[in-house]
Amino acid sequence: MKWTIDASNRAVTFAGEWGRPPTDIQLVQIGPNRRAVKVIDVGQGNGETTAVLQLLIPWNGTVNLSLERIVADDDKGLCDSSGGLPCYANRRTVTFVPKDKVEYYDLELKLSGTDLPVSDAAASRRVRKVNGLETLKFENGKYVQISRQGDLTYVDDAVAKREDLK
Amino acid sequence: MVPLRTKCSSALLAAVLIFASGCHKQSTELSPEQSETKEAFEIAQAMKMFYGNYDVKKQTSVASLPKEKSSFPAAGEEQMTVRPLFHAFSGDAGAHNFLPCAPTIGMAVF
Repeated sequence: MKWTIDASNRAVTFAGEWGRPPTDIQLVQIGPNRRAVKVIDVGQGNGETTAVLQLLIPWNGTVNLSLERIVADDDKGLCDSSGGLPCYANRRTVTFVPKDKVEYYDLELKLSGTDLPVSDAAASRRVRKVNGLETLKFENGKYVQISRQGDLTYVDDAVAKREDLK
Repeated sequence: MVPLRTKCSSALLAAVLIFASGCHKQSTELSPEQSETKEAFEIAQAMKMFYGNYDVKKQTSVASLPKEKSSFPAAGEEQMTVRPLFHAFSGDAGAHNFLPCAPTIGMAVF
């Protein structure tokens, strides 16, 4: 069998930590004849664990980092339910939505769980419930936001600012 | 060898997909039996096409980060040792676990 390179990129993104790569990598179907590599990059620090979704998608001879989103966050390694930092945990499910006659499926990220309180005031030192749904479509080599309803978590803020999300 | 954070890299091939990483430790989970298979041979072939070289015994390639990726450290300067990290044929599904390392992820589709 003779191979030819259809698309390549030696440096698509960074992932992993402490010299180790991410361990959660899957080949996923993103269209009737399209596939992507889904990486869940888990990072830990100061008692907080954050998981970031990365989608690597072949596009016009190269490979794009077509989406990066925080899909889980908790502070289980730091929280103290007896008066310290409240314990929270939230996650997003990642669902590609098959449709007829499309080259690439839409993507839904559904948020649920709890998050840190919005205010640091003593009276509000309880976790808040968070729920939300973001829908994205594939456009020009990237997954871009179509709509978003519901909450953002406090760690989403950086992503929201970077991508000018609403 | 340069520090891990500057030399780790990964590559991915589709039809056959491969993630490759660049640490000093063994990074693939291929069993000895697998390494003798046609599949392993094809990984080697793919790595050689992607990076221009591949040491079958060490299961590594040597490469530099592309200079145009200015946001990456030491782009075009330091050599990385690249190891196959993840591969999948286009019909495959499910997760693939693998070992060490690599902040830098590359990918190729064949």
